[in-house]
Amino acid sequence: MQSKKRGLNYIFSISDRSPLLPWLFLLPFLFFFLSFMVYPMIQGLYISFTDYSLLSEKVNLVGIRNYLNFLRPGDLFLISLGNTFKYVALAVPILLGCGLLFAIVVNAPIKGRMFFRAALSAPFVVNVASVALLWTWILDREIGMINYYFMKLGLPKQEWIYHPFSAMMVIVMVSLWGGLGSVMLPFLAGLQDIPQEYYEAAIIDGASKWNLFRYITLPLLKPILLFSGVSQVVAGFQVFGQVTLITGGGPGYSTRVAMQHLYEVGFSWFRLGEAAAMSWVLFLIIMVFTIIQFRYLSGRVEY
Amino acid sequence: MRDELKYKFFYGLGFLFLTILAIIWLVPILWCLSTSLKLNENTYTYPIKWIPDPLTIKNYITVFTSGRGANVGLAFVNSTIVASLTIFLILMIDSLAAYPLARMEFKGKSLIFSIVIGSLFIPIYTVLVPRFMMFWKLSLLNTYWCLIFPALASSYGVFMLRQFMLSIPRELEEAALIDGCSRFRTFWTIIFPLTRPALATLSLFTFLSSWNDYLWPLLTLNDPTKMTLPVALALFRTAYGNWEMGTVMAAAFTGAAPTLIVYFFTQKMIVKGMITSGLKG
Repeated sequence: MQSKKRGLNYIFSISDRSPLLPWLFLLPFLFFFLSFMVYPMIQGLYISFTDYSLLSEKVNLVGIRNYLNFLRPGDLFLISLGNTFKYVALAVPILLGCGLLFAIVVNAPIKGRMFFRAALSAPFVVNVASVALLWTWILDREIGMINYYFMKLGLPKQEWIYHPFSAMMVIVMVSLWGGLGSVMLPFLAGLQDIPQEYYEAAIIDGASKWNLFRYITLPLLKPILLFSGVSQVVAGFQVFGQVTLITGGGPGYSTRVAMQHLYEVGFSWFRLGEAAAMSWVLFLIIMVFTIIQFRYLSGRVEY
Repeated sequence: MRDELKYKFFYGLGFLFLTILAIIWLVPILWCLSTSLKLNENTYTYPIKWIPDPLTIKNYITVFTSGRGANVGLAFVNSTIVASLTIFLILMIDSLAAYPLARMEFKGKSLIFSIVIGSLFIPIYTVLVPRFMMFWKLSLLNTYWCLIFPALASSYGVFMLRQFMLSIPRELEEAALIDGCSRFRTFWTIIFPLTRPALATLSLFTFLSSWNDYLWPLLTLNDPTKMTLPVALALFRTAYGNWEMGTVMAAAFTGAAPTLIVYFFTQKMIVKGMITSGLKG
């Protein structure tokens, strides 16, 4: 027993000096990372230059044809991409704005603020299918709760998901309802990290409330703003569940988003080459946005 | 005196604002719970009766046993199995990988680390098509593995655990190393237990993302006996009409309850994890 233990220790102590040791630790992770992240990324790029389809055995290189297809006027991918931009342009500022505003309010010394924090942030842990089921019924044109109360208040019945404009607003609002926690909570934690002395010193110097916010709160929250901004833009371009489950992309194509189009082209019509090209276009768009955000915001981040 | 009045005014305003917000945010969830406990024929009567009369759990029994539309009961089991396996494997693999990145000097370390960070921002659809083809060729579609393997490729846990390990005092393991303890044993007996708070946070986040994932399971699971909850719920809805709202809401609440319960008990940990992982890099 004793000698066996020493033997094992001996093996480990040899490998301790080996330059391979760190790689031994990294091996399991690198295996999955390389096979299911790095390799698919490269392969995806290759597929995007082919006419790969699940329906035929033969694969032909088609150059950039898949990409050129998107330039056709009226292409459904372009329409979906346009809707995605519309969604991101609406949802991200609303989420960040409300997230910051509500964080400031629930950070104030108000009775029951722990309850308010929990209430406002809770929906962000709920899965998108449950969220969609809930809101489809609440927003139902005929028997929905909201239209009932609208009628009670003497307001006209709303079309909600049956009208192009309100359908997009429904998606944005459901995203706000469900995503608020993921933006508000980091802001809240950031606010609590700001030393009270900063404010006290500024108040002695006669700073106004707005100046306190503008010159102390906002600069100190910049790293969180950057982090939330980037992750919300990335998430926004991938919006899928809310749309497919609530509006299904309709009415017409008015809320059809890029992810939904990609999904249908790739997995309902099995044109994987085209779908791969779409995912690379989307990837590049996101990269550009991320870099712009980092450039614009991190240059002024003050730690 | 005037200041006090002003304070009271703003306090009242803030309180009112929050109350209205809290109502907007909670009503859908409460309505879902309340409807799920009503008989189907009592669900669409207005004005809304918030306390179901009679109170019934019939809808939940239907959801778990009927299998019409989708087998939600089985999906619940599947989701639990997938989430637990994913959490277990991620904790093992990611903490092993984080250790050398935090504590050892070796060639290629900074390269590996920057790749790890870079991949944090890769959106899932970039690899959606090729990943699907991989699992198709490996004949792993409609298995738990096609959900678990991609989760193990995420570098989020490695990054977060490495950050945490950096904050553990070096002296603790140096003593062990001088006593002739091997690197692996030092890691396993000293570092791993000390990383517990970060491991708990990672488990939590892994649970949430595994339980709530919709797009990838929708793509890879079409066998009703293998589906996870969000996919099963989406399918479940299609088999029920307007007059069966109670049953549908029971299904929706079944999907939401586990994460909500976990959230209420671990709120602080989640908030902390959200900022440490994202910012203190």
